[in-house]
Amino acid sequence: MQSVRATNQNDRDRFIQEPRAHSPICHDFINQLPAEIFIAVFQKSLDSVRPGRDLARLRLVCHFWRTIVESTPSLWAHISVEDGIPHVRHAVAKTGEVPLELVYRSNEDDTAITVEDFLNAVIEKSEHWRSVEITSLDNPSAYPGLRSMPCPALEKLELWCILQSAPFQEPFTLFSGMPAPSNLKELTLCKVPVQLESLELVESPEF
Amino acid sequence: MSAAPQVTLESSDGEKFKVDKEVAERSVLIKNMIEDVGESDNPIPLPNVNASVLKKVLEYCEHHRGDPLPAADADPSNDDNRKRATEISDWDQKFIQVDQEMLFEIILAANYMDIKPLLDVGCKTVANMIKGKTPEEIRKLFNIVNDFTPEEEAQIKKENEWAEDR
Repeated sequence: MQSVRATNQNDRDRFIQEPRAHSPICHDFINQLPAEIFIAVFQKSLDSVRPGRDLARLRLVCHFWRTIVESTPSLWAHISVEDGIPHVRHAVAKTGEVPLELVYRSNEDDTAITVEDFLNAVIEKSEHWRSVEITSLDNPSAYPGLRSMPCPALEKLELWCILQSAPFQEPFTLFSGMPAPSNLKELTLCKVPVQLESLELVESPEF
Repeated sequence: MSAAPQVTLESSDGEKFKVDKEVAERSVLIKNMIEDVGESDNPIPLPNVNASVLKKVLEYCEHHRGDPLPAADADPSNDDNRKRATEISDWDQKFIQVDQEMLFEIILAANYMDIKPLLDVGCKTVANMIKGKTPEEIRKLFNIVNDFTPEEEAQIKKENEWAEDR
């Protein structure tokens, strides 16, 4: 946060030193807000389906906004497949240690990015996954990270297969066959044959 | 029946406002000051808030005097909070329909006085103004100078290609 403020101050100093092209009665009141309020505003302005598109627009407004967007990991933490794999990779690189929310929703018009592609793009941060929501047309089998890593920060997991008639599949384990992460509060499985015994759940999951 | 206890607040430009303690204590800053100093007839100075803004802030506090206090650790990036991110009640929407200067003064005052629900209404209002707009529309709305060189702008647009093309 300190570095954001320092850079913001530089940007603000430059604003003050440079004469405004606009009329003197025009004021950019918004750029007088502290960085932490900017971040709260930006967070609320992001679309949950395409946050990457909104971040791209915000960083084009001026240097000051770009600095805030680029240096605030939490703004990048909601990662949606709708923004495409290049954005997903860019976002992952920006998020540092903040908890991540991952959303994959496939539909019949968009089959280019598989669940496997999506999860592989974020797998390096699997220890920071807080929420994973996957609604897939694919035959549910490949969940990189979810099947092989412990995902210790996971609080919410939703796996939906929306195939009309999913072919029979042997149940598979999650989290390398280890018990469910201790933080997991919400588990939803639909037509996804997860082996439940190894999860050692205290309560039955929602089917 | 005894009258509700009152406190006096003094704005940066010296105007005094006598209000019910319950109303003033919607501000965590004031609540803490009253707790630290104890009951006193002296006005509580608010050197960062002028009279017109303080009047507006107190109108908000009066309307919301009985509301439950917000959770201190509400996480804005949490999924449920995200879904509620831009919902504003009808009364709050009418209250916050002010010019931009007053809107940002209210946000700064709410931040200084530590009134989280009012800060939240202000942030949501600005977020709703930004939503769905192009960078140029945002600059125009808030009188922001485009301080990118043409080369910088072209570079960022190139970096953004993946975002707009999908």
